[in-house]
Amino acid sequence: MNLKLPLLIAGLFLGLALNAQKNTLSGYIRDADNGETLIGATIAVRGTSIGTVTNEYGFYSLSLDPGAYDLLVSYIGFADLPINVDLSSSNQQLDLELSVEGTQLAEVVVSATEENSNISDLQMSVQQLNMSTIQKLPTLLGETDVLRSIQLLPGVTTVGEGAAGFNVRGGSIDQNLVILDEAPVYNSSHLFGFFSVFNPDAVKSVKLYKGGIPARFGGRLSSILDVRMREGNSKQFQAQGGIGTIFSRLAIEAPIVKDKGSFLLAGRRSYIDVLAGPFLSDDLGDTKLNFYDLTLKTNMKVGEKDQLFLSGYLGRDVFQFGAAAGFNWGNRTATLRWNHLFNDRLFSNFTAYYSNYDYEIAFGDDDDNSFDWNARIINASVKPEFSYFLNPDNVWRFGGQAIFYEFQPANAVSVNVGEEIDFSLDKQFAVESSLFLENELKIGNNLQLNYGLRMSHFAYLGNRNVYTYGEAPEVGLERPLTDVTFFAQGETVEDWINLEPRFALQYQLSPRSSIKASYNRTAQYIHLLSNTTASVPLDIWTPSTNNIEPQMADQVALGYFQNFSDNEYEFSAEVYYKDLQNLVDYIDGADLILNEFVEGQVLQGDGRAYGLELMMKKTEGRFSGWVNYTLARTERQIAGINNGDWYPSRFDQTHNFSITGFYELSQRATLSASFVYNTGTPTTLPSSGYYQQGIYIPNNDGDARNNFRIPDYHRLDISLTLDRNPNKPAKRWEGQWVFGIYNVYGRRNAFSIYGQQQEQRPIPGVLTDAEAIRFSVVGSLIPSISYNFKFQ
Amino acid sequence: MNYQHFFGLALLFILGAACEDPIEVPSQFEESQLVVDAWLTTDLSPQTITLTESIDYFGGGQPPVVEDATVSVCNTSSSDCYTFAYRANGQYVWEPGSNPLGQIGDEFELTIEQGGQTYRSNTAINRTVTIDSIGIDFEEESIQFPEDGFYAQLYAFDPVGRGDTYWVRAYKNDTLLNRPTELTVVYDATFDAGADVDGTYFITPLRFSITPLDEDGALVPYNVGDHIRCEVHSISNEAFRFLNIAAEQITNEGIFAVPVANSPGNVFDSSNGEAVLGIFNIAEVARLERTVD
Repeated sequence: MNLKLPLLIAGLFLGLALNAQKNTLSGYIRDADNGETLIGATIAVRGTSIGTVTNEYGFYSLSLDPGAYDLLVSYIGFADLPINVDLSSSNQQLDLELSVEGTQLAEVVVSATEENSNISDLQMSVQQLNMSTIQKLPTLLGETDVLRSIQLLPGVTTVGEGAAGFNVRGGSIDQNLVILDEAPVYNSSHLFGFFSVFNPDAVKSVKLYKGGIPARFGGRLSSILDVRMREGNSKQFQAQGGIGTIFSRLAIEAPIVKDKGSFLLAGRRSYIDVLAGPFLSDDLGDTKLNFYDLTLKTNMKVGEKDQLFLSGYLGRDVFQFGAAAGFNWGNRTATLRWNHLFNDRLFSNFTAYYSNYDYEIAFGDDDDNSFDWNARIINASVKPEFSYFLNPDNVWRFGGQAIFYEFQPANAVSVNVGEEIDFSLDKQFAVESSLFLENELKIGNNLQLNYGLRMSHFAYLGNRNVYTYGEAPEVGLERPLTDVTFFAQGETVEDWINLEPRFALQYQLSPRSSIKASYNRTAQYIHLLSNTTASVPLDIWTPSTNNIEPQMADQVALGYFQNFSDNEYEFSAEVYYKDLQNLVDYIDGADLILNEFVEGQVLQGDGRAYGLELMMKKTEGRFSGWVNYTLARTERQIAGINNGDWYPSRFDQTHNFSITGFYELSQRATLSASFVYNTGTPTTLPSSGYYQQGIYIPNNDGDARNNFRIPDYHRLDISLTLDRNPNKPAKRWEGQWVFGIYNVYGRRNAFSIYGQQQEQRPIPGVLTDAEAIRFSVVGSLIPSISYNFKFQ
Repeated sequence: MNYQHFFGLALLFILGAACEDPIEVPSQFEESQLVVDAWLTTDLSPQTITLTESIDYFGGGQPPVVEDATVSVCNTSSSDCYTFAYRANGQYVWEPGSNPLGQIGDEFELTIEQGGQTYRSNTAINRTVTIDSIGIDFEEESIQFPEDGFYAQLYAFDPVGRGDTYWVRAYKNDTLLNRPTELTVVYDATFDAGADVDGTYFITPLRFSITPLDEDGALVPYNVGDHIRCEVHSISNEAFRFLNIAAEQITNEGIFAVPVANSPGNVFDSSNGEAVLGIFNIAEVARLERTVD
């Protein structure tokens, strides 16, 4: 057992006593309009660099020497609020409210946080987008999409339209921890990968950590996508929604007790099946094809020191073809959080969550032949976290987490000629626990540090047969089963402890420029088994087992940040290098679903990813937007693939360029456009062919992997947003029209290129034709219209 | 369980915009390799081994034939050896007369001498299924059956004992069902070893392997008067793996494609132990025929 951590914590509390001579101002900062807490709002002593920002619950704590202070509270898009506070004799609690600035409703403010914070913040490799910016981005079919929006940021890529998930700095899609109010979401897409599962009406903030990940986060190698829901209007009733090409949405929110508690209930449903209904033949008349999600959040203040939050999410994709066949999948999460103030400086949050991703397939409706199959990953977790605001220059964070996992890889029962066959795979159980300690420290006027340590432990538990596999007869082949042992419930089959050091540094070169550096080590104990180009909803998660080692990554990043023209322009340059171990891949012909012996088909190896990310933003004015360019490489080396040599991964893109712009045509009209370009991703094509019993079989001579690149990808999207006229008096009902065109010049961008054999049935003795096919998911331009409204 | 078919349908509903275009790709082909096509049976009909060379996959064309090889198959259980004599078009033939190559359990070695090299392969004759019947049912139009009509199912029973592997070959009115999507191999009664099922009837999607598919992968019903002939060949686990990967690769398309993988052959160059292309297998064949009435 590592004794350093408890000692450090003890030391920390000793330190507290020595700092008692200061007085503390603390409280929450909220939006005066709807009572939503503001994350990252600044409160600072005027004319100095002494200050702090609100945390993810809108809480701040500022400890100062006794005295009277002239403070300024500010947040982007809101009017500055000057306040005077007397801290000469005691601590003070002060909740503050900021009002939206001016009437410039249509203006897009690209920056998500305080002006200049890109320079002065310690955190690097983090991307944040305002919901109001996300809502003005041109999108596929006019659907505002959190996940597609972040793909316009440097270092974030996708293998193509329709592919679930996203890739961060050369990481695979399962290396992103997507959390919605702390609960992990295992499949973040509706309809395979076309739409994200997050309802924009319910989302308050989106923050992506792609490097320099603080010690309080863990469990995945490449990124953390922290999605937080809005709390709901605590001032008055409000409804908003929209009618789009794919979804209709409605969200209602209202105070439960004014200024003390509120709720938000938001739902979306697709109605493609309703539209398609009349065109289906009779037997398909009861075809259901829809996806929906429901989001609920409530919060309640209990006294001065406590606040409770309850959030829930339910999303589902349903494909039902009459009574004979059906297929559906979705996520469910529930989070209960309790914020408690132990005192003016010690803020705590206790989270308990439950998350479940499952899918279900059923075929056949007669008694003699049917097939029912479902699979799920369930987890439940408790997570206490504490922040101690020692003084404005020194914040300690510490806490821990325990996650209980239950994997149900397959519950599958078939009735075959009247006889029942059970294809089910045994459940898997695991517990992941972690402790972390993090210190954020300002040294002098120019240097900030965040250093921390995360200790993680993962135990793969029994209550099932455990398989042992021997050496493969040849590298890259299936490993033979050598032993089967039953492990009892609660018995540890195998466990791992990892120390994950985290470090970040910011050095202010001038008021308008800084350099930042970071290092993080991350461990990942659960893996998505997937070998298709785009992940299938049927892909299952597996824990690390006696046959599958945890994945590990080390990343270093270095960045330079410079603002120009009074922070109107923000420039950043970052370089990163990531070293990955025990990445998961598969033998040729692997079968990843309904396979009792899948662990014997897993290969593990190394990866590396490195790149340069450049970004230039214009944050305000009639014309705003950003340009980014990434030069990157991501490679893998796995024994049994590509003859054991390094090869580019499926999502390697050498050049990735995008430009996103907003132009305010008038006070109510905004024109938005985005253009993306990236190098074609690599794929493998067969080189030779030969016949066996008349079957024309492709062969990849030399066993090279990803030896061919598909054509480069580029696309232009535009949209026009019409808001209400700000010069007319505000009405209770406000409407907004959005007109968009996706893929304006109708380019058939390749999703992939593959070989295809002739359509006609081969004639024995006659040769078969094969040709290379370019497959495009979007083959033309796609126009859209949507209408959004707000009523209060 | 062709869930990809479901996905395709769903995508069609939503976008209707996806498209496939043939394109030119630079040839990756470097040099031809020896190809051994040695799928023999215990039937009394002439047994043929074909030797050719590989060609450019997308270039296509007639594979060059290998005419100067010496080909023999020895039953290592009985020490009988059979010489396959060259006829034409790369075909080497042995006529069994009234004695088949061997019986279930016999082990064999194939030897090919060509251009100063020796190639060898070993296999054994495995047991096949008992075909219980060919079931023909009238089905109404649904997601599974594209139109009202007669659909045929193969009721074949896998014997108890793990690791039996088969290749189903079916003929409609003497036309072999040989579309890439129709290539059907069976592990015990299911798709693969990982299902961990044994000693039962072939499960349902496999049973429909004797009903033809159209170019979109949908079942095509039989008409009254059509003749169905089906064969279940016993194949080695190596041959199963070969065909299983081949079946996946020749239909590997769309957004859920898997990486390109090679079908591993079981004929080896004696000098360096490396596999050449193709398979040596001797099958015991179970057969049944039926006319739709």
